[in-house]
Amino acid sequence: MPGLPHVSRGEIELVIKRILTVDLAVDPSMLRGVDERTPLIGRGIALDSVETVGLAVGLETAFDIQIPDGDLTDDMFEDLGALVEYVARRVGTQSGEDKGRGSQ
Amino acid sequence: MNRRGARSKWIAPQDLYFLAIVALITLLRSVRLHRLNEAAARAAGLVAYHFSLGKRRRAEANLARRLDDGLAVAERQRIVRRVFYETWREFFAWADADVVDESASGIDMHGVEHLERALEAGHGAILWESNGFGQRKVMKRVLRARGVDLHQVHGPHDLGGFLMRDPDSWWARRILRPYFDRCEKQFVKDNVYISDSNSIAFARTLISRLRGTSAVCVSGDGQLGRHRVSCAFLSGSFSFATGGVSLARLSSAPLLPVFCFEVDGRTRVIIEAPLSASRGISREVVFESALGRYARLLESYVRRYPDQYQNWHLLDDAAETDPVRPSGPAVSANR
Repeated sequence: MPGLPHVSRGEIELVIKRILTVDLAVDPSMLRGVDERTPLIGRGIALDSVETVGLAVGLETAFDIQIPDGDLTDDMFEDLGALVEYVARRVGTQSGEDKGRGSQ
Repeated sequence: MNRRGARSKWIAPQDLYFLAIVALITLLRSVRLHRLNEAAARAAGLVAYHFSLGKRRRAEANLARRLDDGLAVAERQRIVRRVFYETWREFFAWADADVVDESASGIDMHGVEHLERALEAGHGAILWESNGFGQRKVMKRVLRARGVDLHQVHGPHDLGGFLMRDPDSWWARRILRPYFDRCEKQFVKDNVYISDSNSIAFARTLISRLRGTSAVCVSGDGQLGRHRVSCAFLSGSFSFATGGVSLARLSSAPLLPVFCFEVDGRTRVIIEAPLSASRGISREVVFESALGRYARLLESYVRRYPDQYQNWHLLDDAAETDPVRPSGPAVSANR
């Protein structure tokens, strides 16, 4: 999805679910009934620290964004909604930065 | 300086205790007599055995319940006395941590081919050690001497093999932790500390370390972990953190259980065949399979050499602890 400045929350959620099932091999049955308030870390999907970083790397590749180490916290993965929100903000910020660089 | 830092400049009793131990280790390092180290460990083990009554009773009770071998009381006491000695012996090994001579120190290596094969593949290796079994510093000294770049994972409260209640005190940050880090860097390339805050950036660091001839040493039975799976262990259960298995899955580095212990005066380092952490199947299945196999493997060593297992006193508490907090002051969380 590189180069797309506007990505809907639904698309981000779909990509997250794809990374969870394909890259992290989460059982698809665990994703049934998942909503924005489903925790990703510890409870709910119950990812461990290494898996959350795997998810972050997958998102970096999928949306052509950079997630700084400082942002990699439990808060970012608190629930699906928080992660979708973060990615949407990041995609918006970086596409803005790219535009700024392009116009110089 | 912030309020926490200002408060921490006072010497807490625990800081004082560790400073005294650092002074003793420094003295032993200057003398460089292995026998003196052993004598110091024996003395400290004996004192601890007689004064740490709670720990001793928990260890004896757990030994009786978990080992389930019908051991006589005298035999249980002998084992626990030896456990106290082994704990301090591992600690005083800091004093000769830079001495590496495989043949002179009587070390038998088994299963090196597993590590060699892993490193040849270029993805590094994950050495899965128990944080309470045997002599882990010896194992790392030997591997370092063989040219393996070791990256050691530590919990936020780890201090040279013990747990500090306040790792942010001025003395811990400025004196104690740098001291033990310097000691450890004689055989470890770097230390990766799990953050005490909610940061998970350390996991990215670990993945980046796994390449070429690098190996990450991570505890298979550590008390830190955001996700844990309960497995049958020593006539009961124990919750094992899934992080090591996930690290293997995401980095493609093989997961090699490693044990180092003493038998009849000779030190034995055993690197087991890799545990499968295949990416192709469901993570839940892989966690249960790999952690279950590790639990059985560790149990087989603990049953054969119960006096080398330094976590007897923690066994019952361990499964009940907060998943991201260490459980007590007497054993390192994720060394």
